[in-house]
Amino acid sequence: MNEESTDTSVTPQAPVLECRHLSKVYEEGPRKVQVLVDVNLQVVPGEQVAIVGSSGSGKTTLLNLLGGLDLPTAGQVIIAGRDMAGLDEKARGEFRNRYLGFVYQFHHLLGEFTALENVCMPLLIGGMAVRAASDKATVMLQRVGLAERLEHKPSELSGGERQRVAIARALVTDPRCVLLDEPTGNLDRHTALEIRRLMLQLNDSLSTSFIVVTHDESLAASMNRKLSLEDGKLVDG
Amino acid sequence: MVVADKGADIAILRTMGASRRTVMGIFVVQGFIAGIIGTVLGATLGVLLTLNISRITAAIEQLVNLTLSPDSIYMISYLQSELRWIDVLVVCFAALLISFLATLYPAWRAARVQPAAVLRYE
Repeated sequence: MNEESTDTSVTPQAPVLECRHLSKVYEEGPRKVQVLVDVNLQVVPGEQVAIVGSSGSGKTTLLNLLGGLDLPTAGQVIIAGRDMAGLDEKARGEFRNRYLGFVYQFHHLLGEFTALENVCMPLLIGGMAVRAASDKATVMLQRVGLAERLEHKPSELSGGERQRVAIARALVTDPRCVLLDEPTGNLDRHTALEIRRLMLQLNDSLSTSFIVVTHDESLAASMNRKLSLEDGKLVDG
Repeated sequence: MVVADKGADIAILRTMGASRRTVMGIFVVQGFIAGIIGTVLGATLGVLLTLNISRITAAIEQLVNLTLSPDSIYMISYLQSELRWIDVLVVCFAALLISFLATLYPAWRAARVQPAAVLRYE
């Protein structure tokens, strides 16, 4: 568990995301459930990390902690040199907007908005002008192969296209790291393969790091590094 | 109801960095716009009804072949109405105020949505 973080220290690059001695305990009435135990991880720029583990092993909990959506019981999550626990909720939101992207198993696109508007959304939240946001989102949608689908609403897109829009939305702010929770979990095999290729291609062309939580062994195997959550501990997978 | 339906949308906006205040603002504005539309429609219909109440009651009486207020019983055998614009303004203001106040609790609930919890079960 700790060993894997020292593996990455051979690279001279500063980590884009790091967690130190991370623990998470949920209290369910009188019962305490320890989900994560002393998890350590360093992710360097452009690195692809897969985290696998059985259902309920704490993968999503770890991803939420790394994304500042939840706070650890103990330990630190450090992004761009700042400990997320030391920031208030508003500042954590601004940090997420600036440094992180999220992709979920279900695309979670806003149904009333077009693909272009959905991809514009994080830029607008970050304070970018509408015109500039629209131009940037258009370029990102072209990169994911959806130049012809800018004005389509999610209901008018296929499952694979929706996930492409979700990936474009996660990458449009040029984040340092994208956190993906089962990004191919809701797709058929062929579409899942397409999305995997797209992710690897984008990772190659952008210097954004990817942390992917997945059950998909072939997706995990295609990443630079594969880790496994076992009994709350992160071990080389 | 809208807050419950939009849980996942609120959660994803929060993951993108939208603050609680932004989310609350969205619901207050949306609720208030609904209140404005309702107030304008209600005021327009109310004014039209007031201006035409005598004609409307006469038409109903003719339709059902019944005198609603026969002059053998009542001193005034027709419905009287007087449009007072100050009353219209007071009612409109009260309606807008109530619709604004009614947005606050749902908006507060929307702002309390925990993205991690919502997205886990969606």
